[in-house]
Amino acid sequence: MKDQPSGDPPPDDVLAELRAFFGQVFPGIDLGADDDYFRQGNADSLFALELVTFVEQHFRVGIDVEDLDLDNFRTLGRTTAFVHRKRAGAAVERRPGGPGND
Amino acid sequence: MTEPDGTDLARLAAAPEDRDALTRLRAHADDWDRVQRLPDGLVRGLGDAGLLAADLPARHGGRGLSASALGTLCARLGGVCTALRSVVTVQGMVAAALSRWGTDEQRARLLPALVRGERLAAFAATEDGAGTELSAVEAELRRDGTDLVLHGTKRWVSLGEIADVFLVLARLDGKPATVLVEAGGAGVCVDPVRGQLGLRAAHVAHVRFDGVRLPARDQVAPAGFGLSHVVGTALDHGRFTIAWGCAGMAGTCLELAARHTAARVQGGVRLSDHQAVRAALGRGLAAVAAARALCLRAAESRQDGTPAALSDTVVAKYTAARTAADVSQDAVQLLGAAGCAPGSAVGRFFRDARITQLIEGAELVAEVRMGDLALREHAVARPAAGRTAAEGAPW
Repeated sequence: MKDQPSGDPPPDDVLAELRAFFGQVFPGIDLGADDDYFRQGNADSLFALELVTFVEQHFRVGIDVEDLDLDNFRTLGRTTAFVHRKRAGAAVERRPGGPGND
Repeated sequence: MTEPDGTDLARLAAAPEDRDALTRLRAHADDWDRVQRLPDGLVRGLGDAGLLAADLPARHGGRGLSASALGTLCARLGGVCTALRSVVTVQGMVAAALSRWGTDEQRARLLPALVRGERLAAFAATEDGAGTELSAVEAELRRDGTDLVLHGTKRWVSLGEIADVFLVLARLDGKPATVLVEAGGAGVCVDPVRGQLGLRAAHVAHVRFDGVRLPARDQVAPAGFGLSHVVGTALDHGRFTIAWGCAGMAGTCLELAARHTAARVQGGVRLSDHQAVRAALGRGLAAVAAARALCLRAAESRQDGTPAALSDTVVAKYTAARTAADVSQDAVQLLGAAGCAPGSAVGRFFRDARITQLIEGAELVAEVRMGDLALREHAVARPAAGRTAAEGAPW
């Protein structure tokens, strides 16, 4: 198992929280971690912004124009990975000694 | 054509409840509606008074106004003149989209100028074949070397006649994409609209883009994100300020109806002494209070940054627009001939209110969306929309 930076919850929690959010928005639809919900036609365009807002508020990461890549968001698994990358990046930026050695 | 004293706008910015300033501005508004234009320099005046894109954070040139403070301001302006409020709405929509999804270069180039009113933005999305269903836009961007070339015709662009820059929704590589287009550039043809039902002073125009060449840096967000994210952000912001504007409009209509019916005597009886008149005023009072409460709820969820902000804003805009239409209609009825006369404020609000039920989400679309919310809330599975990825993917 890979080490996580301290203070960063394990990926399973992010996935579970995303799954709970999707469960509220799309009740009764059981999404797998790799199901492409946009391709399935489950998501409408208001949902795209709801997802941005949820990820920003719930996981405290910022989503900017550089992050607008379908591959970051098209499945629960990819969105989870995006949150972890963002958190890792933010942790690196905050560290006074710069990136690298834990 | 009467010009407002710029100090009235400044007074409004400092104290949204300044009744004297509101009364003077309202008297100008009937005149603006008649001549179908806003006075020259008004946009700059709004900027000088700090009333444009005031919710932008300081790093983007704004005052960081809270959602409820922005809303209160739009309610006051909406209670004066829908066209005046539209300037704040449209400038705010484009500023919000750029603040959220623009590059650092785009933000630095435009946002401070939009806040100061040195430049006026307009939002060009609607087409003949794409009103409510914006995913059907046909305006097209083609690549030419590192440039983009835009062809297409946009309809019903508020402030389009006097805008300096347009945020345009088109297709690039078959996907929704947004670009910034300078109004004075080669191939931009602006055709002002006059005599429409309402928003007569809002400088509405149809705008044709005939092979307009743009540098790649003027694209906002990657292709595929133009509708769901850029236009989505703009429309959400627009719904919010329109909702508050409608609540303000309904409030003014109630005030004018109450004043008129309390003052007018027919056959020795004051109009307001008739039960039917009081009942109409009572319905208006409840409706205005309900609209304001929903606007406040939307402001709170926006301020908190919760996902519910988007749907709360849809509900607030739907209800407030309907309230403005209902209360202005009752006001015209209660004022009778005075409500139908040329220059009647309630007549103007009645025409404007009807249009707010169409823009930034037609009533039926909002109702379907709210139906989805009801199903969500009660955890009932909905069938998938059944769209193909090619036509339906909102990305």
